[in-house]
Amino acid sequence: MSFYIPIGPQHPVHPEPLLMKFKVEGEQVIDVEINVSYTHRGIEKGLEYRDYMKGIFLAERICGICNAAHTLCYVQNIEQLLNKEVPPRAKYLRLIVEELSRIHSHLLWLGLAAHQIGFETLFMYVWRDRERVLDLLEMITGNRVVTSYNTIGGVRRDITPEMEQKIRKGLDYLEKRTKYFKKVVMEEPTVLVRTQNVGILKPREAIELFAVGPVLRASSIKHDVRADDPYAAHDEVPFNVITYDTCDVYARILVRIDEVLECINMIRYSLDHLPSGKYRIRLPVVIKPPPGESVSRVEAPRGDLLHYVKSDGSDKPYRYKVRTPTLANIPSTARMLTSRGDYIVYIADIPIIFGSVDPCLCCTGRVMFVDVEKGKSWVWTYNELVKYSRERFERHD
Amino acid sequence: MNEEEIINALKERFGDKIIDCKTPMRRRVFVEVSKECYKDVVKFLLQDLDMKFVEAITGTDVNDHLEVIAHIGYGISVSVKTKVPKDDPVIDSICDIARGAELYEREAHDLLGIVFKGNPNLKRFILPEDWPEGVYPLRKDYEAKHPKPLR
Amino acid sequence: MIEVLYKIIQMILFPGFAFIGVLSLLYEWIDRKFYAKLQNRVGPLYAGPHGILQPLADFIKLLSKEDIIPEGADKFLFTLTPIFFFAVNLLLTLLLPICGTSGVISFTGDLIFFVALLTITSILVYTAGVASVNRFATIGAERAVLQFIGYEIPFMLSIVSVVISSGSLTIKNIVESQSNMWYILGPNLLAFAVYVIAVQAELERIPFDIPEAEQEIVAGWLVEYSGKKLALFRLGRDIETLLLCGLGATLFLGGPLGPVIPGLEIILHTLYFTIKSIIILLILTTLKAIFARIRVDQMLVFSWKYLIPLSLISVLIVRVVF
Repeated sequence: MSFYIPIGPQHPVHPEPLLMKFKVEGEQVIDVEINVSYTHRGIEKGLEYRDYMKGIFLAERICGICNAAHTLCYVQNIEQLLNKEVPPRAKYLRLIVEELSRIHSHLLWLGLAAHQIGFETLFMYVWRDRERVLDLLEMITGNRVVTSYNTIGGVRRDITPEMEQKIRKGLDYLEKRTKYFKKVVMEEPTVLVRTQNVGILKPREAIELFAVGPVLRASSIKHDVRADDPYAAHDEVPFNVITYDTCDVYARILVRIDEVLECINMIRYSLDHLPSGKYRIRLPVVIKPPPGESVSRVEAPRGDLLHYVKSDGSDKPYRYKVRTPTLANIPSTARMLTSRGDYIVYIADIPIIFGSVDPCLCCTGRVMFVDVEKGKSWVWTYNELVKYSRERFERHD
Repeated sequence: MNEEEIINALKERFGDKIIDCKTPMRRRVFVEVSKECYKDVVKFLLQDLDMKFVEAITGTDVNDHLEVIAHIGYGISVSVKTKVPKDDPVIDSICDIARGAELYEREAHDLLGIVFKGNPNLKRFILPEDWPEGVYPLRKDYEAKHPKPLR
Repeated sequence: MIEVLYKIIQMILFPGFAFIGVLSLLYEWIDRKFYAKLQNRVGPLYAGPHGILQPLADFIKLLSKEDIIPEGADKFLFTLTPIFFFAVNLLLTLLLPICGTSGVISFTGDLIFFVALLTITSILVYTAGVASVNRFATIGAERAVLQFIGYEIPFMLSIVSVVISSGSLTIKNIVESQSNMWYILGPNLLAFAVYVIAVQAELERIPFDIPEAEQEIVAGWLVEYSGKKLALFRLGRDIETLLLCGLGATLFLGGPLGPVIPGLEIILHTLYFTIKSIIILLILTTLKAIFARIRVDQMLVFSWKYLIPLSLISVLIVRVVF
């Protein structure tokens, strides 16, 4: 016998759906099967129909928040095919915008995580400070979120000395606020109770299941594309790869907050050492790279992003492949969400664990529960799940 | 290890089974192998050379055959390419040595029709449930219909 | 005859239903605006000057929405619960001493009557959840009852402290016995603190809003209500806020008492009452803004481990002093 509950309203921020099938026994989650039937937009096929310059705009819209990473990866790929080097100033400018969008993404995520735990005030404060980042991005690139800054051959605009001053002031403010948020997260007892020892992913599993990004770094594996395979100006700008070893949701929050502080330092360093010169090399509008293949990798805010291109000499790519970090994290998420041995996952923990992975495909999922004992199944939305989470969580603590 | 060392190690181990191998840019190695030793090469890279990380599996439709590429490695990215005939697109799955690659193989199967022998879960992955069987959108003979603009 | 007519006018206009309606919407505005300011936001802004007509606009909007009764729900209970909820709260406001030392209705022992009817509103919350046959409404209702077990006893005990201090169960006498000194400035301070926390739980506000706002958008036991029924619930909730703040002002802050000019008594008393209950409302709003949500079990543990002993201590203190 099975019955379905009508689907509730959507989560206002995340736009993409994901279906996870949970096998529950009472309140414990035994197994999960992930079924990614997201809105497949056929972007890989679409890129085969567009020439390289137009493809930048399509690549940008793969993800709204990581758009700087996607365009960076795309243009790097094409530049590698053409075997052209961008001028040093362009590399530093690309780094600045990429790190600013990383700060934006992490702050947005922190607000959402606070909202999931029930900490509305922190959510409001973080999102107010995120506006500062958006103001800086708007000043540099002209747009708040979808920056459209990178292009094949360099960047579209330059930054002036007044912009540099404003960026520095903005960074000082953001640093102060991020340190305050870190203090709040580390000292607030309700946050600690909700996030410690929840959603554990052991290091061995993280390596085996090919986790990427902050999920991997929160399980004490030191891997970051910016350090292992440097691009743009990352080989010249020093930074630390942040890892924590508690492997739970709390570690992931701290990894992301510390990364924001690292980004701020990186931007300051690049502003101090910004080389002068051209910020763009002019390439013909219709680009026809020689036949060949290229792989380009970038550390998007959510993890390791890979683009592969195969060119046949014409002005359109023969094959373009994009592998987003959230797809790589799905097996790890499934692992985190199953109870085994002493580690028990309650239905109540699901939203927090899933949110800690920072999915770019969203969580307005239709989560399907199959109750093994009672032989019935029902479907909830993410919000219903979050509600259930708050209620049932503490019973088992 | 740098790129030269990887190529040398591969050549030493597999000799003439390596069809082609080049380093077009720094930290990238492109290796082409035959279908039969694809899995052994991947296993060699993952375990013996300790690269540990399969980043993605790409499928491509070149006109008379299909290609499967496995991108491996944290720092240096080694792309292992192999060709598969279109009328018999079967290749060994690497799921038993690389557990996390299951989803990538499912995606390639869904979009291109490559059958990974040994994959425990080769079901529909990206396309909607009511998509017709046997129609593979990423193949070159599938024409993407451009949607008409709304009025 | 004239008296009866006079009483009816009082009941309907001032300080009865119309006045309470206006005042409760004003309180909701103050609550929302202050909460927003604490969170660095602006709050309601456009409807009327400084958004003061926003709660009225929300109420009218809800009245005009479609009213859906789910198919499996118990029609009778589903329809009657919001009406009763609203009616009981509205009735209780007639007991509050707004423009004089006694309310529109006043009789011996009316404090007990007051508290008893308040209990009915809590039970109505449970009925509302169960009548809408929806698993989330049921869970929300269940949580509401659990929370009820938590806050009801401290609430009553804090009132008992005041009763012992004044020696009477009639609101009028309690107000009059504070004409020298308000109860809060005395051994009843602890009782006041317990009262405020218990009221926060009764009104289902953060940190105790587990039954209601758990599903951020899908709202707990209220989930199936829409249109006019939801409007009645929300207005009933606003009136309950006014009620409990007013009761707090009456019991602890001396109600409508204050320096008067003869002739302007009614206006000044109303003014004092309003100001005092707004002070209590602001305390409640601050509590709402500075905490995160806690779980039902933690709430029960907190209440039985801390609130109830504290309220018992305050009763003892008051018994010893008085």
